[in-house]
Amino acid sequence: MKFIFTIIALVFCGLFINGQTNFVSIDTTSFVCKANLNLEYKKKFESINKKKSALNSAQKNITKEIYSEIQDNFLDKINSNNFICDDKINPYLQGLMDEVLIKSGISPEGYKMLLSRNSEINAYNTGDGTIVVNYGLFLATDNEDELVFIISHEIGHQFLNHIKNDIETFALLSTSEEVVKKTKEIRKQKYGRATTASDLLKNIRYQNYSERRKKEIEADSIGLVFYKKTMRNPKAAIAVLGKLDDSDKEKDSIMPGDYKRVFEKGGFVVKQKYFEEEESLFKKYDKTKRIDVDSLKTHPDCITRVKLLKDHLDNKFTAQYSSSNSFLEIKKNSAYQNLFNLFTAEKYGLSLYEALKLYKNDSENPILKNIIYLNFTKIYASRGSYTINRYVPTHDNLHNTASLNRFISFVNNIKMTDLEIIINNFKS
Amino acid sequence: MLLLCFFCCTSYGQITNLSKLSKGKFYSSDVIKDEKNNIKGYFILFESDKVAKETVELEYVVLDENLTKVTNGFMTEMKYESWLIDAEKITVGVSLYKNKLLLELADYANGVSLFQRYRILDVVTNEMSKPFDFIKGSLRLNPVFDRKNSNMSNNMSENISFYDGVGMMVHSKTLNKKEGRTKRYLAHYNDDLKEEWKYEYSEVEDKKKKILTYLASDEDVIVLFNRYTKNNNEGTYLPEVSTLFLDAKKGTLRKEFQFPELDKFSYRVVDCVITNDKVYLMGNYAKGNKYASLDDTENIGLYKLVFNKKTGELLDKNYFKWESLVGKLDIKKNGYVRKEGQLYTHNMLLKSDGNIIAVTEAFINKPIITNNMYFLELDDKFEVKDLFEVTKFRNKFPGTNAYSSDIKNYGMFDFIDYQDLGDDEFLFFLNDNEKKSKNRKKSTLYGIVSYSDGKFKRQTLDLKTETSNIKAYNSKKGYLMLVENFDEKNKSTEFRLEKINY
Repeated sequence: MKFIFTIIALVFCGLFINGQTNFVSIDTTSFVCKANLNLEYKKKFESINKKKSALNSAQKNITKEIYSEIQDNFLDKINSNNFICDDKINPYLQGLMDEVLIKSGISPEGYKMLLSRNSEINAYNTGDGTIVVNYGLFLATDNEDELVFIISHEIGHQFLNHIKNDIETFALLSTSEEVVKKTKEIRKQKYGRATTASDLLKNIRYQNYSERRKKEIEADSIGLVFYKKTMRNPKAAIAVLGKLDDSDKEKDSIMPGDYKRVFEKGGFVVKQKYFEEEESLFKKYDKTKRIDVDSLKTHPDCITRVKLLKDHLDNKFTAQYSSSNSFLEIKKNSAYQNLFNLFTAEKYGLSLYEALKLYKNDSENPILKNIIYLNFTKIYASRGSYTINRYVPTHDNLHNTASLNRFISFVNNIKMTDLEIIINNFKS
Repeated sequence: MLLLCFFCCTSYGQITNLSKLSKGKFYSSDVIKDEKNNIKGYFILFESDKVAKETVELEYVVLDENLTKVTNGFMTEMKYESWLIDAEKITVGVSLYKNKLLLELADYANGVSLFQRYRILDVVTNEMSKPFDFIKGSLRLNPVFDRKNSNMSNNMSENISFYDGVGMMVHSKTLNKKEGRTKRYLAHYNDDLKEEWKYEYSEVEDKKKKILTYLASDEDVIVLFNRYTKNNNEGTYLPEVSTLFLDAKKGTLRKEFQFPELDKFSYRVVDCVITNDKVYLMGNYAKGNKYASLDDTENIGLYKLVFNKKTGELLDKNYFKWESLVGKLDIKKNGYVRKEGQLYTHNMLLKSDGNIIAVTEAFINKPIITNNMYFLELDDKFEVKDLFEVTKFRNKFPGTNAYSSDIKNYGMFDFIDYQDLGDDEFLFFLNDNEKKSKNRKKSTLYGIVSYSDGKFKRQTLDLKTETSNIKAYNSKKGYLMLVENFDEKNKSTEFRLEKINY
């Protein structure tokens, strides 16, 4: 894997020299990083699992099962190089977290910051002191203050022990006298067992999700208290929640005319039929009828959260945001690094799609040209081996934007010989 | 068949995937296809609970052509239970007309489907109708089921189906003088389940009776294939075969066409195509016999009959004899390819220039052996323009003996399906594997034959991997669905829609 990274990095560094563009990609495939994290977290999980608790054996079994699933999932993430170890960014992020903790009078011991290469705009707390920031946050945030508020919010979850409490509450609820009694009754039922059991489970889940929604507000609230201690601009909290609310809306698109401008070189002509897809029979996609989806939202909607935060802040905002040089440096490279992260995660379709959105307005950019070349090369190989759908998303009339579906049609519909011409055109 | 394999397998991965769709027990599924054989979606049925004696709650899930979930819902259905047998599951068969899916539900016990009843799912509103059936001359909405052993016939619907361009049709075949059911008929019902017209075709007193099979239809005409049987023995066919042309709007008979020279020839219809002004009947013919059934060993060749769509009058007829392939293929007069066997014709596809593509596969019926495939392009004069041989794995089923129609019905041929891509382009899929092989090296080859720009081209997909087992299925237009089951436990099965390169 290290070898592969070296080759990819060389290609990118080559661009750095030729294109006079100040970008060097981060190593997202480090074997050492993976091995160290693996060792560290295995030890950490062992120690957590040995800790005594006041729960009875049935409750312990439930919590054990949940912890085991969470821990396995986390180790899988480590093993698939989900986390980045970088000499600059990791200490920088750790520094931001320490800033919040120390200024809030909390000992940083037991807290750890990890950076995920995931491009989704998100961060999370794993309940064992670990706070994970997705690389996608660098794309969404405009200043360091916004990032610090998100970190503060996650510290809030950890400080209030939300994950641990969640799991234990679930275990207590599942083993409560009432539930045990109902379970026995269900066992005795001759008919309609599954429906009654499903209703019971639904109730437990509703209570749990309702609790989780409350916990988000609590994390916002205490996170804001911590954040205020840093003396950063409180307006950032409001701004970043607004951005999270918009995070699933695509900001740019690629139109058929853009494909013509970008690809019509070397004899390749973009035809309308490349974008055509058989019309679907279905026009109406229902949300699941099993459970009312809205009531399952673990996060209350951002508008509600913004309103609550505004009440806390009394609408008194200063104009200035702060951003360190480190933040500005990371932010500057974030668009390219995100393409690289997607590429190393073998999401060649999305990496190419995002690259094309940038390239259509910056057609002389050698870095973009090269990432387009690399992705097309991978896509060409996967088309040949009938594995393209592993690396390029499927057409999806419900979840994808029209622009993304158009892109998917394009990379699937063009002939292999056309792909060869495109690859040649983008070859440096 | 596809979804049976798709959803029935019990590897860990598939359970994981199924559980994403429903928490219930998998019952049955079917592919949603349009009139051009294109896959438009999938319908899957689960049992979610047993709510009373002989009563289950079913969950259905509809997926679109990209496997995105469109809708799901619940319905209560009966499932047969008695001291003698319990139905194992409820099966579903799906047909599409415009924006409606007709669902045929049936209890399945010991290999037999019982208690057929129907529902309609409107894909515009995603609303499911109440159950209905057609029993003793009346269409009953939301019938009360009374499944005593003595009352089975009152709970088993006659066939209801969608005809292209027409809509819902009931085919009432039961004749019972005591119950006053003296005529066989086809009846068209509208969206409100009201009868629009009825075509009566055989009476209880008739000396010979018609057995009608649907061939094709559009807004104007319904084309049916007929074989006569003896009155006192419906299993005995007479050497009389005809085609019926019905007015699709009124249900009146426009023409009954008797197949020519029935004393010399027997006929099988492979495909029927309706164009703006013509009806094309294409098939296989053999030496005649007293039952007018097609004898595999006396196969002569292919035929094409062209009719005036408005009148049913014969406009043109062409015959192609296998022996005309001599020189291009080592074939005998009766269509026997040396060392490979007879030719079975899977499809005859009409191109816009009037040419026809015939898809054939060589086979031996005792023991059953499937051999190479031959694709023929016949011009408008029905002369061979192109012969394309596709060599593939020779599958042998020791100790078996069957007619070609049974080999086809039991899915033992290697030809899988075709896709009509439009603009006279087609894709054909075939297994190139040793069936039921445990030898992974041999069980991962799939053949794809493309017909594009007037040329056949063959490619073989070698889906062999060291860590998994991959199966290929027909999918939405231009794509193939690959289902990859991994050796690694708990690793989810991958369902991939892969664009076919051609």
